[in-house]
Amino acid sequence: MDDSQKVNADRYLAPETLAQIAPFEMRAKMIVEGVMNGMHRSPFKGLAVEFAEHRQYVPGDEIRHLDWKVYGRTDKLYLKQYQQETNLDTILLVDSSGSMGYGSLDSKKGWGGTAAGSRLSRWTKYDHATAVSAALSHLCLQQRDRIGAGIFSDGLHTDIRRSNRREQWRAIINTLGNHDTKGATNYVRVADQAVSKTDNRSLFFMISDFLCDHGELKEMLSRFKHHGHDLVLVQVLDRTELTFDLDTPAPFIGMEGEDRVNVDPRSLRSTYLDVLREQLEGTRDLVRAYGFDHQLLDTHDSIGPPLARLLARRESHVGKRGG
Amino acid sequence: MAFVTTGLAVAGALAMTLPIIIHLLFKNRRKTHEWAAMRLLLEAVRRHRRRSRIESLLLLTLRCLALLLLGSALAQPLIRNSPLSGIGSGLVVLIVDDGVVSGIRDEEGIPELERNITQAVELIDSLPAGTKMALVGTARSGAPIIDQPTINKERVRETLRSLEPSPTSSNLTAAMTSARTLIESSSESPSSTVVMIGSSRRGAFVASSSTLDFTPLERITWDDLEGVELFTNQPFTEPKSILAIESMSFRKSLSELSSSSTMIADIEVRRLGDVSRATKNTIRLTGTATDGTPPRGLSIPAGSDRSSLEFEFFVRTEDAATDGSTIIDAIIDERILPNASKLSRVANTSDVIRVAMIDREDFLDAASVENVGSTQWMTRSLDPTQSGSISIDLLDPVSIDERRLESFDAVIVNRPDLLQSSGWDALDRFSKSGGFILFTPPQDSIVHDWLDEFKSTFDPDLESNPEVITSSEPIGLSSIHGKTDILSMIDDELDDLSSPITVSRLIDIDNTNSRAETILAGNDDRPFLVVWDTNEERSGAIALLAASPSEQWTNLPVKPLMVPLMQELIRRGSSLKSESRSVISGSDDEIPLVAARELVSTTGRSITLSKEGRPLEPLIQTGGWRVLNSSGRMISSLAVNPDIEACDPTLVTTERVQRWLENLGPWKVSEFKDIQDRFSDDRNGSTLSILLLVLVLIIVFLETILNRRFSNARVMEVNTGTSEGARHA
Repeated sequence: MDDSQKVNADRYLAPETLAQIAPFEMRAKMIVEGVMNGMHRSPFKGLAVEFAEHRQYVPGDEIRHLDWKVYGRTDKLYLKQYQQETNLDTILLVDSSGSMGYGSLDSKKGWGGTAAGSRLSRWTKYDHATAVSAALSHLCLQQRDRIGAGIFSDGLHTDIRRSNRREQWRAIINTLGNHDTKGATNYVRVADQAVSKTDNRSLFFMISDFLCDHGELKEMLSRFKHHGHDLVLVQVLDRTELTFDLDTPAPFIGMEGEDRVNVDPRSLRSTYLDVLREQLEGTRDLVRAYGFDHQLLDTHDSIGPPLARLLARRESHVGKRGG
Repeated sequence: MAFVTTGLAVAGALAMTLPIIIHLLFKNRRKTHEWAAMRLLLEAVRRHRRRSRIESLLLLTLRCLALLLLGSALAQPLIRNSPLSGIGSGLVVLIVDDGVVSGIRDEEGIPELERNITQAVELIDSLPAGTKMALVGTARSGAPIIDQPTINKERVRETLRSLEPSPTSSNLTAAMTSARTLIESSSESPSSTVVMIGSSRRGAFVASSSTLDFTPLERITWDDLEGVELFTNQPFTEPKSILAIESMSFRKSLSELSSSSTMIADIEVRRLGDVSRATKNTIRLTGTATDGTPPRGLSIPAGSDRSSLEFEFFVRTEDAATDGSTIIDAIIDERILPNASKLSRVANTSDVIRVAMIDREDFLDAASVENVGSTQWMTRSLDPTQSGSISIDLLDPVSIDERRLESFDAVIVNRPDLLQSSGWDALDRFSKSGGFILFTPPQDSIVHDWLDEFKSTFDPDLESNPEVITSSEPIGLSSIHGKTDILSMIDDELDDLSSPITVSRLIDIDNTNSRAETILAGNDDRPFLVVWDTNEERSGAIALLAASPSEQWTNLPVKPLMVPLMQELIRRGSSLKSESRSVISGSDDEIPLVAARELVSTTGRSITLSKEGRPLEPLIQTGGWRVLNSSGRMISSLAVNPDIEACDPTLVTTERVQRWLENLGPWKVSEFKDIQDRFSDDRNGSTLSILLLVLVLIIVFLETILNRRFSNARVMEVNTGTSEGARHA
């Protein structure tokens, strides 16, 4: 990657954002299968330090793993099994479809800008997704976990291999920053492609506007669930999309090739907000039903507080489960 | 429902389309908005479509209604018999003098009628909303211009502004009668006011006043009508003077150097109104059958009001009508009262005077003077040199009819005793068409029963004795001057010429109560020659000779008077026929021509005649009119002129107007401003307008509320921290 393609990545990650998410750790809700020792539970038990469970003694087992205290109380032989701790593979899946190029916020000084944002001179949803990716990557690399990334629309277009090297962060940011937004989204296909490339259980962050049919979303979630991955849906929407605060009647044209329609926003606002509410609540409920996590982000807000709340929520959830 | 200001109501109705027009105009000018959450938007549109249509329709209706009601409120709507329509519910009848004298112009060329209209419009503006108005003009016999009282001020204003000075005479009493009829027929009005606006110059009173003592010809009482107020404005005080051509008569030029187509017009010019200043003008002749004349100067010294001049002009007989008539216009270059500056007259271009002699044909030659009959005497006297200038046709008394007589200029009836009733009718029509008829008693009759038929046909007031009076001593004759101008050409010699005449037999007639004037009488004061001159009822003239012009009755045929007497009677009498082709503007009298079917003016305006020869509408336009028969051939000519007396601009004092009006009711002569103030006191706005304005405000308020409710009812709150998505406040 030459210098001209380098994105001023620092601008995606404001110090205050780092400060807001620094106290938290990136934790997987489930057992992950890392290849290195780390802070995450591994399905592999044995010579680890963290007790996992008891198992009845079978001839041939090593005696040194017998729990003598249990034997003393019950006269039964049980072996102590320990949970291995391993590292976490995190994969960021960032939506670069046409709808992610929407933005109603002027570019702010000190903020970065992806190719989509520069073209529109607006802080787009894709810009916001890139910023989220920057923060999450940074957090993972701090934990010495491996992080990878993929950019998708109607399929997975770009794949950045997982790594815990320091250079990985800049590689991810540069790749995201130089990508343009176009095309429609096909979540199911993306899910299929993503899980097929991942051989171990990993934590996926899918960052998109998720303005799709709930049926499609359900199929996508089931793919991840089936393969045992953990998934966090980070839903990025623009403030205008959330409030529909427009005054002038105008013809509206879709960014992913939808039909043109004449709309009086003031007249349509309440109905639109009803539909939006149903969409968001449906998405949230669906994601929860699969045991995954969901976080809605507003492009006009800073990413630090909502990410911090997401991480805190995950930490507490994992803690309750004894992770 | 009507409106005080209809224009604003129409504007309101048009403004109602503004929201629609604005919507259509801006529909295609909107900037396209790129939108990401299109799936949500389309779903919202799908759900909202039905509701949106209802909301949009409701808002559009409210906006249009607000504009419509605003326009209506400003236009001050009025509902008949509604207490909401303000308090002005009386009837105001405006009488505007639009007669010929109202056309007198000021230095800037603006007619006085304009000033009257301006005042009338100001008065209308000051009327309270809801006041019913009617408009009567003094021209056209006072016929109402707006005969159905209206509350539409705009309509009355427009009608007033469209008025122009009419060439017809003002008839004030007829206009008052119309006003009274309007008030009577509008019984629902609790109070009525009549306002007469005019300049009150003398000409305005002529048609409705006696010429002798300036009193109204008609009495109009208002006593039986309650609550009627009568106002008129002060007379104008600006002295004016106009020149008018009073008369124009034509004769053939007697000069040997002149051709037979050369005629002479004798023109009398009269100055009406202020005569304190000398005037200098030019006058010229023009016409369709003549090349006209160059203008000639006309000077009238200060203090004088008349002048006359003579024009010699050439006529093209081929361009004249079939009866030899053509229109000649005399025009003065003065423009103070254009309608009076021109006089049109019918000139007879024919070289021959055609006379019908009604008598039985006598196949016996007169052997001696004693045996020469009256018809022969008359024939000889009319054409003594047998030049043919007067052509005489003998018609049998039983065979005459209207159509045969129409081609003659004069008729001499020597055998009235043989006339059938159809013959009397034909003579009656001939007389009414302007013809001259001379009756003489049949020379051989002792008893003259025909006089009964004569009286019933021409003058019931004439008294006569059917038996002939025979005098043993011949009665001398004396002339009576000044009664009529039919013998004016021989007036100076008439005494000398009549003195040798004696009469031994004559019929006894008494014209004391008759309109007939005695021209020649016996020494015993018995009338010898009486004439019914031109008057309102008869267009032509009738002359009755009490004695047959034959030796058995009088020595007249053999005396020098016979030739000039007969010549003058026939020449002057026949000229009446041409003069009768001139009518006063506004007339709808019968055109006494059997074949006449249509009148066409010089400007092409056409008026159809009824079967009786009466125009289907009054002849207003002055100037020449062609008389056409059923095949469109020009059979005669007709001249229409204003009544010169009605053009008189002489000022009439307030006192005299007041005295004149006192005969016609409790009229008040007031300053115009006082009349206006009388109505201004009652002025009030329309209650309905106020209610409508309140309604407009309510609609605007409702529209605002609904618009806000439809467009921005709920506010979105995004809680990204709890991941609960959109939540409605």
